[in-house]
Amino acid sequence: MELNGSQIMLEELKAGGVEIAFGIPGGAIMPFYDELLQSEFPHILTRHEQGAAHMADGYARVSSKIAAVITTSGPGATNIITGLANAHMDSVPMIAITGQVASPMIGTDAFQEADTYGCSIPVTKYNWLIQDVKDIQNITKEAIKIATTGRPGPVLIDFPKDIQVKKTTYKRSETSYAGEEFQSELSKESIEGIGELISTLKKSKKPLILAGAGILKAKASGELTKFAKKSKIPVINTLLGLGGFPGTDSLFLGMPGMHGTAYANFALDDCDLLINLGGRFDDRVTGNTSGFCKQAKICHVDIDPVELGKRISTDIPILGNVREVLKVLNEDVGELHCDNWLKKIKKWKSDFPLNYKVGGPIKPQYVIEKIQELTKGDAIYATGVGQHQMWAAQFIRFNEPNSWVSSGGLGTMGFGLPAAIGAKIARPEKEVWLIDGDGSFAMTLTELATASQYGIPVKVAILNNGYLGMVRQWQELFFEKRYSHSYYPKNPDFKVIAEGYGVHGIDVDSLEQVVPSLEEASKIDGPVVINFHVDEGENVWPMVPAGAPNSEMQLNQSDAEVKS
Amino acid sequence: MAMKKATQINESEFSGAELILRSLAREKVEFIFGHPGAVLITVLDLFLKGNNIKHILTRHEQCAAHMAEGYARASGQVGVCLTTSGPGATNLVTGIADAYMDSVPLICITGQVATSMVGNDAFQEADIIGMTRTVTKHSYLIKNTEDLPRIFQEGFHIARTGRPGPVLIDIPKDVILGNAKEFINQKVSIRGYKPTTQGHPRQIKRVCEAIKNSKQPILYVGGGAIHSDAHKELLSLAKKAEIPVTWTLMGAGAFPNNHKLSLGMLGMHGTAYANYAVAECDLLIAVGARFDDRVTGKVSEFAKNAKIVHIDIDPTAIGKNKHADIPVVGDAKLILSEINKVIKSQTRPVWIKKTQNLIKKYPLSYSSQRGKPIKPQEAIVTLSEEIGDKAIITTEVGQHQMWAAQFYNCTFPRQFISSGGLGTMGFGFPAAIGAALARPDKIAIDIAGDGSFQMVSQELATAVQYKINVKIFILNNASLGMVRQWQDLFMDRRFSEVELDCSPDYVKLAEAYGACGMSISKKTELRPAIKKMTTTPGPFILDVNVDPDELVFPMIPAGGSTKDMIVYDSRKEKFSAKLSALPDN
Repeated sequence: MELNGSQIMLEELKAGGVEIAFGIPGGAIMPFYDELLQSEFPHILTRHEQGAAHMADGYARVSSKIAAVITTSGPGATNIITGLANAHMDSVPMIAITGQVASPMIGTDAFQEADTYGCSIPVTKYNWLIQDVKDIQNITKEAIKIATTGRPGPVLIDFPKDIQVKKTTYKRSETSYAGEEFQSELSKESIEGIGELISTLKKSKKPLILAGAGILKAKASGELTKFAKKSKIPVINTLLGLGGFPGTDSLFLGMPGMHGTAYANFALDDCDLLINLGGRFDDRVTGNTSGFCKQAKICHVDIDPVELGKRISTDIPILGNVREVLKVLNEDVGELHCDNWLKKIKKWKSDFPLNYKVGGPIKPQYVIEKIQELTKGDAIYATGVGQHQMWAAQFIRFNEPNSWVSSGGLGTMGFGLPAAIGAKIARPEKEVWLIDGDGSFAMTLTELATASQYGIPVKVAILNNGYLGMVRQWQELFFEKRYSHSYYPKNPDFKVIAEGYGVHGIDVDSLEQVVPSLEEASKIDGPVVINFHVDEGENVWPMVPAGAPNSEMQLNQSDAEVKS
Repeated sequence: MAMKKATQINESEFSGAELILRSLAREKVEFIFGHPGAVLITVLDLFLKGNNIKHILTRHEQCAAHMAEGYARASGQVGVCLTTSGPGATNLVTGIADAYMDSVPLICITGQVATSMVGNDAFQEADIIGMTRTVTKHSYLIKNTEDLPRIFQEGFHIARTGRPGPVLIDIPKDVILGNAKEFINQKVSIRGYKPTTQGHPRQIKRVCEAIKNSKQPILYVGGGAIHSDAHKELLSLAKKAEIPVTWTLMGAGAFPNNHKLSLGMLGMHGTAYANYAVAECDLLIAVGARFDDRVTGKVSEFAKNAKIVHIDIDPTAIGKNKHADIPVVGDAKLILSEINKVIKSQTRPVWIKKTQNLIKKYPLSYSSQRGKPIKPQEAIVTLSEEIGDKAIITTEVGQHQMWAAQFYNCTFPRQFISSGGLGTMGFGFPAAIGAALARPDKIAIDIAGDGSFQMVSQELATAVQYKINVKIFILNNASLGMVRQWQDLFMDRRFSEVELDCSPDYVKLAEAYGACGMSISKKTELRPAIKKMTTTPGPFILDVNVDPDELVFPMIPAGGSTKDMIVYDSRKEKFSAKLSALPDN
């Protein structure tokens, strides 16, 4: 069969299990878009390419499926750099296809030419510049495999315009990676490592699990839950690991680190064995590494060998798929009977709960708690970056894996709205709530037009404090309240903006309106934006100052009511 | 190397943040465009402690870069932007690439995670140096606090000299927090970087002879003429030797468009007469232009009969895309003034008559009928008539940009600010904000398309916050018009993913941000609405609903030559069959 480059790429995307693309057309990608139309490949036209990348990101986080991002050359490609970097930091699979100027024009500073290949090297798992139409089949296959297996990540294929229309013979190959998983057979060393872990576990009095996003990527949530409950080991979830363990379980300690729960940080400080399952000891988790888990032996399970020992020296490194490792553990480990340890933790939990003071202006935490009550932890929750993100991570109790969409490593403001849209497209049966800040939301609110155009019913709760709240918080605490350029004296009226896009808008500035507004939003069949005017002075507690050990955590000193 | 010659200018120690601010003050920076983040808080803190540098808080970092570009393009000074690490830095990449393609001097300061954390995949860490290596003129990752003053001196020097361009300075948190004494150089000297400014006398002599001997010369003027402030010398040369002038998108305003020697813009959407004249000329004098593919089309057919003179400060641009018979490396202003000293007054009545006839025969045109939708071209013509040289015009990217270049009568350098090389949708509005700050005596107007403006509409908040007198003139056709045009002409009207349904209500949008807005769709409303827009202080959106089927003509299809030029809209013909053989881009 004789096909052109664009047709081959589309065939291979379909064969590789790619079901949707997000993007914006432009000069150098037009032949591909022409085939896209003719083959009726599902596509969402976004308003900015950054939005396209974050949509594919949100889509992948909740479905574990890979989506394509399609842009033109030059600015189209440079506009997704942030989205690629974000996916790269959080190990999210994504395949970006960027138009490039025609092969003979490359290197001439042609119109809308950019060295996309060069620019994207540091922010992709792998990338290609196609030079021959005959390579498209193998490159696309390889790209999907690399993006979705092992430690997932974004890949990029730069696709010159002339090659998009060049023809060659094409034979569909029988092998396909659609839905294929990376079943890493555990190596001999890994099996030995597990053995060492089991014997260490048996001696441990104060074991603790730190579960990261690897649990979600490996679909190991069930095995983790089984392991923790069977052995009665308490579990901490990193920001990206949230949802990997049931948030309502008595063994759950919430999130660690800079804005983690006090009891999670106390437990880290006191444990004698830490089992890190698919987390990467990020600096926001460890604080100053020299003070991290000083008493503990450290076991680290990860599929990416470069992570083992990268930031924290590890006593028991285990390379492999965390689900396979947990399966072995579940066969061999029974209840550990660390009752004193569990009692100690229980006391910490009751003595140092997450708290905030109710009264006065609406508290952002209150809104989140009400969203939690309304949705019972069954929705998908997306966030921007900043204070609201930390509060959401603290106060939402997740029932299921893959129901949390948040930018961890790169901390990308503006991630929320497009990511929520992508998540809703992937899981239309789920209610999707975006908990956002006014600063983050403003960065990408143009995608309201996309939500409106395709009727994507995401529910947006803006916790509007008129500030870049996290920056404001640091300035309050560390810069004697000099609020330099963190304040928005002229914030827009988000309700009217929503209406401008044909989206239902609600404005809320009193406590009594909070619950009714959430119920109203939930009932409306379409996107909704609720603008909550919240207390601008509220800070995120607890907090470990950057670079300090977790033991220097500061708690909420105000006479806060006990909540949660 | 430079360190050895550096002298200590102050006994006291300064923090890194203070050294940054002191360096910026030394370069007489007026404005910094940015968005804070964890790593930069210390620097931002100093902006509150009384100094002359004003920080403009943007709503997205991409726009900080474009505002700095708009400021630089309008003022000729170096634009400065400042963002945090990670997403703050990656959000700048498009703006940096845009500045690089159009040779705009920028200093982009990015915060970086602490030196000890670099390479750890730390929170908000990104290898911004790696990502921008191919889109910056130069970049620095600063390792020691004491290097800050020297690197800022060098950075500004590199950004503004030679062929200008963006310079990125990545500063880790510990370097910002560290303390050091202040060492600076009296004069910046960087081994290996000494741009040639004086043209070689022998080459200049050859140019003068070529001008003397030419019967049909043309000046082809690019952005370099504006960067080097060569407009006066250019006008003298054109008049003295009677040479018609055509300009590129980047060169708009370098030569007054209302002058009788002006042929308007050339290239893909240039005037037919400029393109025909170039095809016929026997001497093409390129001044600060780079023979971009949107100008030349098929290079071998471009100015086929002409001897090529190429004046450029960047030796690598010469001969890159088109062979130059007489290359002259150096600053355009200096070289043109040398040429003007040598040449004698000349007249070329035959050639001038010929070009005038071309202008008469193939004028820029569009058809506007009563009762029909507003044509985008007539909206621009009316705007030009109403405001003329009181405006600084910026554009987004697409059809409206080409119409603006064709129909807005630009008369002075730095009046027309547009994203040329990278073609960045979303450039115009933030650039207009930067331009408005640089030229408070003018009215900054962003001639926008609806698709482009939506990419950056959140900066309305910035414009309102700082009470910036910026106008957004949207030619709204509810689609990605230029892509639609190509699909219309070359893809049998298969319109793939170009319709922007559910576009916002721009009046409501403006009002939600506390700005003013107005939407019109009748011809009779055009002139009063423009008056209203220009007399209302502060940001204003004028949403002009235009005929969505209008196409930009003339058009030389990508990779084609003058022979392939479609001069007028006669859509009964099918172009695609004829053009399929072209190696298009």
